[in-house]
Formats: sequence, C-alpha cells, structure tokens
Amino acid sequence: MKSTQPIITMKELKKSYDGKNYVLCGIDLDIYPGQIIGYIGPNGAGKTTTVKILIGMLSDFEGEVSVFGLNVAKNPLEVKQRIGYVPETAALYDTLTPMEYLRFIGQIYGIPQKETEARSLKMLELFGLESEANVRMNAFSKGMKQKTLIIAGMIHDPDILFLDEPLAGLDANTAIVIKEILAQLAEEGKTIFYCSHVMDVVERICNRIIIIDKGTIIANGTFDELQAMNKGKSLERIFSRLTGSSGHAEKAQDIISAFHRGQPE
Amino acid sequence: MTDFILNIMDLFKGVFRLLKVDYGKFRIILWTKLTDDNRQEKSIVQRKSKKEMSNSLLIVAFVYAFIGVMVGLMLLGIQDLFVSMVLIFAIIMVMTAVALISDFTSVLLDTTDNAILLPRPVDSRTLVVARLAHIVVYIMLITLSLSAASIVIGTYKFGPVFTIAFFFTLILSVLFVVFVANVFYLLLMKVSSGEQFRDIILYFQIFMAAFAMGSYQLLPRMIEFDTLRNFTFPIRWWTYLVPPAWMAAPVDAAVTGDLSGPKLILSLLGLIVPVVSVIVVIRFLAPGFNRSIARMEIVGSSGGKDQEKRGERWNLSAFFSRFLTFNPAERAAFQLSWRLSSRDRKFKLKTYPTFGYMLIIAFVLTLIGEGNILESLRALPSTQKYIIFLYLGCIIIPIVVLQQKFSDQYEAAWIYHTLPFAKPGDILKGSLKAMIFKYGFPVFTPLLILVLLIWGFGVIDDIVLAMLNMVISSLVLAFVGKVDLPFSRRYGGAAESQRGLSGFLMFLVPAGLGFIHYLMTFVPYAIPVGILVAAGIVYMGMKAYGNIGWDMVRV
Repeated sequence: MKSTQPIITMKELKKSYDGKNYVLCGIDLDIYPGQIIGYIGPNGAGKTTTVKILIGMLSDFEGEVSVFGLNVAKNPLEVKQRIGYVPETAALYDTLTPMEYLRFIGQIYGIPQKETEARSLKMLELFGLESEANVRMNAFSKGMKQKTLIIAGMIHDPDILFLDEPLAGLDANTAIVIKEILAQLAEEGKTIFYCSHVMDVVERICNRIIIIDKGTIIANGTFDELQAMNKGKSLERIFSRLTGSSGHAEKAQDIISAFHRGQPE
Repeated sequence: MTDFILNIMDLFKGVFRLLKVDYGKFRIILWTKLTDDNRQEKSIVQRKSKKEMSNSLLIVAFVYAFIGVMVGLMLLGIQDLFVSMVLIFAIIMVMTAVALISDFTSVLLDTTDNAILLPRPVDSRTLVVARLAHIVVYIMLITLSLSAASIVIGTYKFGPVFTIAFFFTLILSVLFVVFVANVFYLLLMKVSSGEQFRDIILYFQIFMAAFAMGSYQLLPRMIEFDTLRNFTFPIRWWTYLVPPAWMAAPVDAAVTGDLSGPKLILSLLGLIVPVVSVIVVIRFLAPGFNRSIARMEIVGSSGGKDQEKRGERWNLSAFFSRFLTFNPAERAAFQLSWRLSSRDRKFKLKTYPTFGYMLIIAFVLTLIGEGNILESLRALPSTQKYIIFLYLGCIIIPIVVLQQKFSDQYEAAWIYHTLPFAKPGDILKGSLKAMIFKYGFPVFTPLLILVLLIWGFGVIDDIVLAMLNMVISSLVLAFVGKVDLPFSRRYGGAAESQRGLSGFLMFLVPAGLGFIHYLMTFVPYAIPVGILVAAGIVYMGMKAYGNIGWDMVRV
C-alpha cells in the first residue's frame, strides 16, 4: 500500500479559533493516492475544520500540512487548482441557472468555455437535470442544488475530491450513481476524502476509515482492522463504542417516559 | 446592463493587469455578482410585478434618475446657486450613503460568497478588487442617475464650467460618503452583536423605502415654497461643519467667480477632507473592517445565540391574548402571529415603510395647501381634516393584515394542516386580532393624541367610529377572495401578484368609510348611531370569520 508518496500529509496539526480552545489538537495523518477516506466523528469533532484547512480555506493553523507535496499555507492557489470540494451547506448563487453557475466555476479554474459547457451538460444529463439546465436555482429542491454542487466540485477533474455529506437530499438512484463514480475515480488513482454521519455508506465505500473525536484521531484503519480491534460488528457499533456514551437504551427510555408524563393513563 | 458595465471595465484591462489582478477571473466574478445583484430585489423598488427580477439594477437606476429630476429642478426653482447646490449635494450624499448601507450590507457581509470562492483557485488580491469594483459600480450607478438631471439643467443654465466643477466635486463627495459608511459600519460592529446589527440595517432599509415613496410627494412641493425660492443663507460658523456646503462652494465659486474668504475655506475643506478620509480608510479602517467581518462570520456560524429572555415570563402577546382570545387555538395563533411579525425581517421591510409614507401623506394633505405652513396649522382646528388623520391609520392596518399571509418560511405552515382542528377559523381569528391590536395600538395612539390636541375632546366619538371602521376594513380584506392561513404564502409567488382586487380594496374601503364618516359629521346624532351599527358589523364579522371552514382556505 505504501509504495507511493503520500498525497496528503498532516503533522501535528492544531487549530484554534479563539486562541484558547483547540478544535484540532494535533492530527498526524498520511493519505495515499487512490484511497477513499471515510472521515467520521461526532458533531463538533473537527471534521469540517480539517477539510477547510486541507483545501486552503483556513491558513492560520499550527503544524505542517502538505497536499501534493506542497505546503497548503504557502501555495494555496496551486493546491486549490487540483482539488474539488463539495460543501455540506448548499452555498451557491441561487439566482443563477445551473449552466450559468457551472460556466462561472469552470472559468475560475481556467477551463475553456466550450469544454465546461460540454462537461456540464453531460453531468446534468446524467443526474436528470438537463431540462432544468437553464432554470434559476432559487426554486430548486435541496437534492437538485446538491447535484449542481457535486458537478461544480468535479468540473475541473480534480485529483483529490473533498466531500462533506454529499448524499444528503439525493434520491436512492442518484446516490448509487455517485457511489459508483467515487469507486471508479479511486480506481483511476484519484483520492476521495469523504465526511459523513451515515455509517453504513462509509462502511461500504471507504477503504480506510478515520474516526476523530474532540480534535484527535481515535481510530485509523480499514473496516476489517477496526472490526478486529474493537470486536464490533458494524461501523455504527464501533463508532458508538469509541466516541460515545454507553447506555443508549437508558437514554431512550428517559426520553420516552418524559412524553408519557402528564398524559392521562 | 451587466454586459455594458463589463465592457466599460474591459477598457481598463491594462490597469487591472498592472495591479496584478487576474483579469479573466476578475471579470467572471464581477459578472456573477452583478447578475446575482440584478436578480435581487432592492429596497428602493417595492415591486408588484409577477415576473422574476432580471433587471433590478436598471430599475434602480431609473428610480434614482426620477428622483434626480426633481432634485435637479431645484436649480431652476431656487435663485441662489449656493443654496440649491447645498440642497442637491445633501440629497445626493444622504441617498447614496443610505443606499450603500441598506443594499450593500449583504455584499459586504456576504459569507456564502466565501464558501463558494475560497475553495477555488482565486488569489485574494483579485477577490478584493472584484469586491471593490462591484461596490464602485453600484455607487457610480446611483450617483450618476441621481445627478444626471442636475448636470443637464446646470450645464444648460451655467455652461460647461458648471459641468466640470460639478463632476469633480461629485467624485469627492462619493469618496467622502464611502468613508462615512465605513466608519458607520465599524462603529456598529463594535457596539452591536450580529443580530442587532442586522436589525439596525433593516431600519435603514425601511427608511430608504419610505423616503423613496415619500420623495415623490415632498420634493416637487418643496420647490414651490416661496420661502425657499428666494432663500440665501449667510455663512456662519456651523456652515463649515456641513459637508454638502464644502461641495457646493467650489461649484458656486466656479460659476460665479466669487472665491471670497468663507467660500475658499469651504472649497478647501471639500478638497482636503475626502482625500484625507480615503487615506484613513485604506490605511487604518480597511484592515480592521475585514477583521471585524471575519469575526462576525464566526459568531454567525456558531448559530443564532440570541435568546428571547422574556419569552418564558411576562410578555405583551401573552398578556393581551388573555383578554382578547377565547380558546386555546385562537390564543396560540394570536401569540404566534404577534411574535413572528416582530421577528420576520421581510415582514417589517414590507410593512413599516408604509407607516412612514402615511405620515408624509398626512403632512402633505393637511398642512401643505395654499399659503405657508404656519397659517394652515392655525386654520386646522376649524376644518374636518382629523378624518384624514384617522382614516390614514385605517389604511395601515389592512395593509398589515394582507401582508401577514406571506413569509419566507411559508413551508412551516404545514403544521396547521396536521393539527386536529375542526375548522381553521380560530387560527385566522386569533391571528387577525393580533395584527389589529399589535399595529392598531401604536398607530392610533399618536394619532389620537394629535387629534385630541388639535381638535379637543369634541371629536372623541369620531375616533371611536374610525377605530371600528378600521376593524371593518381589516375584516373586509380578510374575507376577500381565497382565505390564507397566517404566514403560509411565498413572497413573490402567485398569491402576492394576484391580490389585485384586495390591493384596490385596501385603499377603497377605508377611503369610502372615511367619506361616509365625513358626510355624517354634518348630520346631528349620526355619529353615535354609526358607532352602534359599526359595532354590530364588527361583532357579526368576527363571528363569521371565526367560523370559516377548511373548504374556504387555500391550500
């Protein structure tokens, strides 16, 4: 596996927004080309912060981060040119049409306009959005916006793709298509960095799983390795054992009895 | 419009390249921002059309140009050039500043923009220049539209000297306005939280919209004032503190050739202050500004932490609902509508400007007639113009009643359909009562005091009748056409454009009732009888409104 150079390296990565509390407290990680990384953790564990640092959005961090062998803090433009990012929140100019938006994104990456249009049309068609290609997005459903965001993240054929909960709002058929695309991209040697809360998807598509909690990595390996180490059956079980509290059953019981209280017997 | 602006930008391609800006990326970012802008609503344009917005910049330019014509007419109406220039610069500077603050807050504080552009390969210099260019384009659009008429009229009257001097000072005044807006933002960000900040900006937007509506009424009449026509003002010590005077002085001096002591000082101020302020902005304010925005972003992303502290304990809506509603569903709707209308910014932006506008109309209708203001004020008690005051109040409440159908979160209204109600009448009634009471009270109290002060207690029965008629007007509007549940319709959707009939009735019903009321003042004992009849109608109407079934409600 470690035959090639790592494509992403993080050494002692720390990040604090206010100078006091650390969101990331020393992440050490090497990622190799062709991997699909499942990056999971409870809410507020520091997943999105890690991604924002890797894609060059946040540059004031401690430690060393290099992507493609380049220092992210020093060469953000070179890194950004070769990565794609699909954010969790549907941030796009929704007064534009998908075509206009994709043309805009394509132009920023310096792709010739004809090429952008050809790729966009192809992808829109693939996602069943071809009839909406020239309709303003403010009336779009969450899933339709998500499709446009995914296309925008892949339009320049990036070497690393960062995805934050990419399947949210998508119908089952599209989700299958996306998962298939990711598998084939990894086959080609592209790297996928996949953040999600949906454990069974991560379990199935990722060939390496990293669990972080409170800013530190608490598990790192293939699903089989995690299973062997933690004697858990599913990723969900393993995750819950590593990050959370036990006693889910009692908690649920408490919640239910709170509803029953005050109701006529 | 967008292409036209970009073509002009292309002329300066060399300059941008010199500044090490990636022109290709700059151009596409600016195109996107302008296109997005062009499709957004602006606070000065209260649009009624059902079409999607696709030329809002052009419409904005048109509205400002129209106001500009009336501004420019002052050059013809007022004898003294210095006075007219002070007024013109005052209006241009105030309008530009307010427009900058009300419409450009979203641009300056745009965080979605960051999420889209920061992960892409754009260097920060290009990004900053694109942002600046966007703002400059917008300011130029406003000031040029506002001053177009003044330039034409002034050039016709005073020749090309005026054109050159005016143009030059115009640029200086815009620089100064940008400085003032910048300082304003910084102060505001220092003293307020994110949520308060947005509220303050909202009041600017409301002021802007009210001013835009009122200016059609006020400006043309102002030129007619005899006192203004022959007005000259001597330069006193405080004149040196009025920025428009700094800008007016050089124009006046260029045309009349009078560059005596005071005018020279004013002109020098007009030249030096803007230049110094630009240096201050670039050297000292801009870095702090960007830091503040970045900080606000973090505060904003950590979620709205504005807690409603009073929510649990005593509050107005809970207090009043106890007296005004008679069952739990009605009470719940009363409190919900009361609270949502206080917190929905769009609702405030759509309704509050009307309040200001009505105030201006009342002022125009009652005080500006023949002769001067003092005389008409003295003559007021012997007239029946209190009817105008009272019924302007009657128009406002139905506007609010119509507006409370709409919300940006209209989808949340699904909740009504899943709750076990036999009929939605209680919801409708509770919500209607909340609107009438919440807005009727603050609108009528000052009107009441004013009317009592001017006309005395003899008109108290008229006030009672007018208030009952206000409820009747609201009921009529609530009944017209298909009934909508509170906050259940989308802004700009079909429901908003189809309210032609109600939009018409909104003015016609109160006006008609007001006219009948006016006639009744001539008949002895007509008012007390009218009160009884109106009270009966209100009672019956409310009852019928509460009995509306699901079949009458639009889903």
